[in-house]
Amino acid sequence: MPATLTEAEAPPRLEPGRGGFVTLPPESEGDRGGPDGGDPRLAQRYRLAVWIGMGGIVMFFAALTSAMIVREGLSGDWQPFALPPVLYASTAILLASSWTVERARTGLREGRTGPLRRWVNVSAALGLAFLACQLLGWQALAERGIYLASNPANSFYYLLTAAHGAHLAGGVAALGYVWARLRGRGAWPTREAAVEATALYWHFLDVLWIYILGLLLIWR
Amino acid sequence: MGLLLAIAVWAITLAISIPFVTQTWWMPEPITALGREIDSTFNFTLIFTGIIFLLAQAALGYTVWRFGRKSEGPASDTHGNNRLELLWTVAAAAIFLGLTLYGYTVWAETRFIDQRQQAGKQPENRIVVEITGQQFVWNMRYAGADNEFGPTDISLIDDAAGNPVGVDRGAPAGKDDIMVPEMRVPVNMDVEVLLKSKDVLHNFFVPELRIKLDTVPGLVGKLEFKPDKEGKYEIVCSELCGLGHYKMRSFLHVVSQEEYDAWIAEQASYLF
Amino acid sequence: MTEVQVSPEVAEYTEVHRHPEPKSFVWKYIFSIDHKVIGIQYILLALVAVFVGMGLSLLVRLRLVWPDQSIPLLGQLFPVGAPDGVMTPEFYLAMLTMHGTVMVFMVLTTAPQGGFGNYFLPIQIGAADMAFPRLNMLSFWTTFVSFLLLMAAFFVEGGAPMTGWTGYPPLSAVPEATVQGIGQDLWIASIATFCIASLLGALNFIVTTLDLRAKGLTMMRLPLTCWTWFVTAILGLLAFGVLLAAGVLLLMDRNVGTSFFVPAGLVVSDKVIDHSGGSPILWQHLFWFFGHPEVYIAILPGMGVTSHVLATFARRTVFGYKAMVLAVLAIGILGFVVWGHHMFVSGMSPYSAFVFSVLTMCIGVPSAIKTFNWIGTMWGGKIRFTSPMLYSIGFVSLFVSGGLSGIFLGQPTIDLFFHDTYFVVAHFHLIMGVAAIFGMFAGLTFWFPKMFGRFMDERLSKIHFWVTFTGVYAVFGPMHFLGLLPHPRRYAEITGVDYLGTTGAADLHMFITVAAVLTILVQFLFLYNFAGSLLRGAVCKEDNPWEATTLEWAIPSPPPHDNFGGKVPHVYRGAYDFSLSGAKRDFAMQCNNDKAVFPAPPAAGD
Repeated sequence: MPATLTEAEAPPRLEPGRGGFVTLPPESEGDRGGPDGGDPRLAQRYRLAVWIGMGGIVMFFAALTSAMIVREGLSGDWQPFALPPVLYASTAILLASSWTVERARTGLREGRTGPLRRWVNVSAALGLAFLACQLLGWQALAERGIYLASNPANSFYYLLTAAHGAHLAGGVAALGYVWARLRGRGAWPTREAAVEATALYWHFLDVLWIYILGLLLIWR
Repeated sequence: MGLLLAIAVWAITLAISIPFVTQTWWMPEPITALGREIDSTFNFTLIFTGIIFLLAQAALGYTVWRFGRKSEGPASDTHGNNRLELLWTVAAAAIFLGLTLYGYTVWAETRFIDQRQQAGKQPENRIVVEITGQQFVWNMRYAGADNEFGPTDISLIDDAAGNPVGVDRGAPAGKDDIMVPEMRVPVNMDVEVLLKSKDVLHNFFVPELRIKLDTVPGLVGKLEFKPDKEGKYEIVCSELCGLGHYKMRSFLHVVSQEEYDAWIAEQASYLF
Repeated sequence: MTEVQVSPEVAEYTEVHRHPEPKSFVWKYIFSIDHKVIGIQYILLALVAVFVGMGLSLLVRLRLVWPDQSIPLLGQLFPVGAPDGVMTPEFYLAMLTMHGTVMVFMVLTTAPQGGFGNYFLPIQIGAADMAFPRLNMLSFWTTFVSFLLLMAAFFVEGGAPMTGWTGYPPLSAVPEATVQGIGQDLWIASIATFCIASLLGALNFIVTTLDLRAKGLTMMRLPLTCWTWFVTAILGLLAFGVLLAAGVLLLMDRNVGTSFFVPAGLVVSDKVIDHSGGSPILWQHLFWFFGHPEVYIAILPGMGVTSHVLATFARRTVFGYKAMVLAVLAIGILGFVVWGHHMFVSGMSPYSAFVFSVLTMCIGVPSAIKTFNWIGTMWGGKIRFTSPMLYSIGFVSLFVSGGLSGIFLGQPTIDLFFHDTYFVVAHFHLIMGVAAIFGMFAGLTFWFPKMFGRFMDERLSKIHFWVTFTGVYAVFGPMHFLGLLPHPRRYAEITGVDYLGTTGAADLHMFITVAAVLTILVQFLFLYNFAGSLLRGAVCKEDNPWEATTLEWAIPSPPPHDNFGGKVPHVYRGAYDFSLSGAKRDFAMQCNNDKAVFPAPPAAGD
């Protein structure tokens, strides 16, 4: 005897906090362009995931930071060195890429695929340029005889830039995924989710880099 | 089934509790005033947690027995009892925090050594022994007649030649340093040990003193004690240090002042 | 596509889109993105790992009582570690290290969360799958790779690492100190990989809980299982990143010559080690910042399952649901600020030791609340002694026994004596080891009919319960007395120290080993029961054989591919509406709003 109640008879606290109803997982049919598409709330879910993922990444870098501060304070073998100037170029590139990612988002919001594609490509290119600059930075240090293991200050420099670089490479991969999505005939909500999540992550990497740069400048 | 489970829980509870009461397997007698204080903290905790242990397990068994029987009528539909919940929250907090605060003075006595020394409150007449752990032996160093440890250098380390910590025998302060494998102190004397390590972590532990501290390479740990009972006590390593960890031990001999003086003179005579 | 039989319990559904079931074996069972298959994969991985870990503990126990005994097959398997089948002390340490690592990471972290959580979190919140199914698959396979890396450590030159599951440097960082090869590196790599897998998993769990709950399922209506999985995921998210960082630093110290953890001037067997200025204590801080939350990662899901099962089989609502939720949150938060109590004797500042001690004792408060509320849940109930109920009652007993020894160890003055003795071994095995594993036993016997459509054999489960319950007390109870002697941990033999030979340590060890062998033997009965019931167990025809209240019992056993058949139920009430007054039946499912049966309006959510 299935008892069916109408919405009106249901108890007043039926409306959930945030949960609401379930949408499709991204691999479902609708995701590949069916008429009923995904759900506009998918973008919200992806952004939530990025925010939570940031928590984990922040803890990772917080651990490295505390290790660096403790290690520097403990012993007399810490030898500070001047940062390679190319870092300022890479910082400028990364800041610019955040701007281009925003341009891509604007394209998305206005529903214009052309600018969206263009700015996604430019952002990915800037990301790769940033990574190239970081490599140049390592090379510049190596030429000055500042190697990974020769001093803890160097170790932390290489470690922090490498860890950030790895996360940024992940961001470039995400842009590559967006690029691939844009070539297909994907449903709009899914595209939106991918672009929005990647953009948020990209800005986070930007802020993370500024933090690392500040740390290296202040605590070297 | 309920009764069986209740009996099992009660029986296990008793089986664990009884040896704590009969003290079949127990800590060795403490040989310092501090050790006895630590024991009283322990006993205090044992009584409180013992009561909670017995009550909680008894209540669990009783509940399972009483409400596991076949009974008429539905189960109770109460959702909770705020007053009861508040009561045991406050009770638990009071007991647990009370125990911590109770132990605080003892802890301060044990570990606030640097603070005491800075305040100039250290005993005038005391013996300082430097203890260096290495895989898998303890090296004890006495400062000798000048009461000053000689400088060390790792390039001088030579286990075979009897210089395991690399004392610079050329330096004036290092000339009379005494290296021995076992520790000897006079009874009723304040003793300070400086704990070092050559290689990995070890841990200096004498059960009768009730205290232990890691020996950390690169750092110097400090412990103070004042044994008041003569005897031979074992020093055991209590931090995993490698394959010989289980046999890394030495002895602490607490002897009379005369015996100690004779021994230290004998050790000094070997040096020249 | 088979149509799912709609349960009469469900008052209302929202239609959502269905997605097709994969047809090929590989996509359906191996690289599946279905959370149910992934959950079972995690459980099977943990099952393999737990028998490996148990085998290692058996070797450890055997070596302690018969150090010179030759074990035939062992000599062929490990010709270096056990020449002619006789275990060397370093082999003993390697077995002990691997036992700890396998159990903590591959069993206690995988099965309760990755296994049961993966399977039942989406169903209990009325979702079709996790938020990110592909990420879920990636988490599992990354965990699997991590397990393989760890197992590989047994078979490389120098054998498995012997530095304990805590891997304290310099022992773990300086290869010369242990005369070992790549085993330690594989160990670190395995743990780092595991960290990544757990981070991805944690992310997925959090988003799923926050974003995929069915209509009407507010946070305060969540089953306590979901609460514990959620809080566990948050702990994992914040803790594993720190261990990952520590692992990377340690790997660099070992292999590229950096000096994060290795101080200057080390001399190992007359050889000067070329490092400068690192701090071994730094590792301990980073490790235990992860390590203490890890304890709660292991035990919290067990607490959730226990609350769930106790309520179901006592036919009572959870006593003080709100207090239980707050206690879980409090344990989670406090878990991050007490790591220092593992380091009371490492030479830390006595002031910070005191602060850590006070915070540690604070954890006793929510733990006490949980214990009292478990008993309060059963009080006034009509207890049904099914095997999951027995395991849950066992959990409560073990939790009390294991928790109270923590009151001793949390006080630095007393810890001065007990640190690194068998007292600690007894403490954490009771609470983190066997209590958590009793939670898994309860979960497995409780959910087995739902997962596989067959019941486990009650008689065999009950025999297993009785032997295991008394067995684990017989194993870990006496370890408290070893700790009082005091018997330091991680000793390969008792011959190295005089007083252990005269104070009865050998007798206690013998008693423990006999009890351990019996307890281990009966685990094979459990394995037999598990495998046998999969094939021949009594078929579970009903959706809700236990007359439980949560959503997983509103769908067929086993559940169809997308759980609710392209629909999601609405939720009208809290998770534990048992024995409502005036009701015609003693349980009200969360999705049931039949006023003819349950005249009283549903409680607001507490």
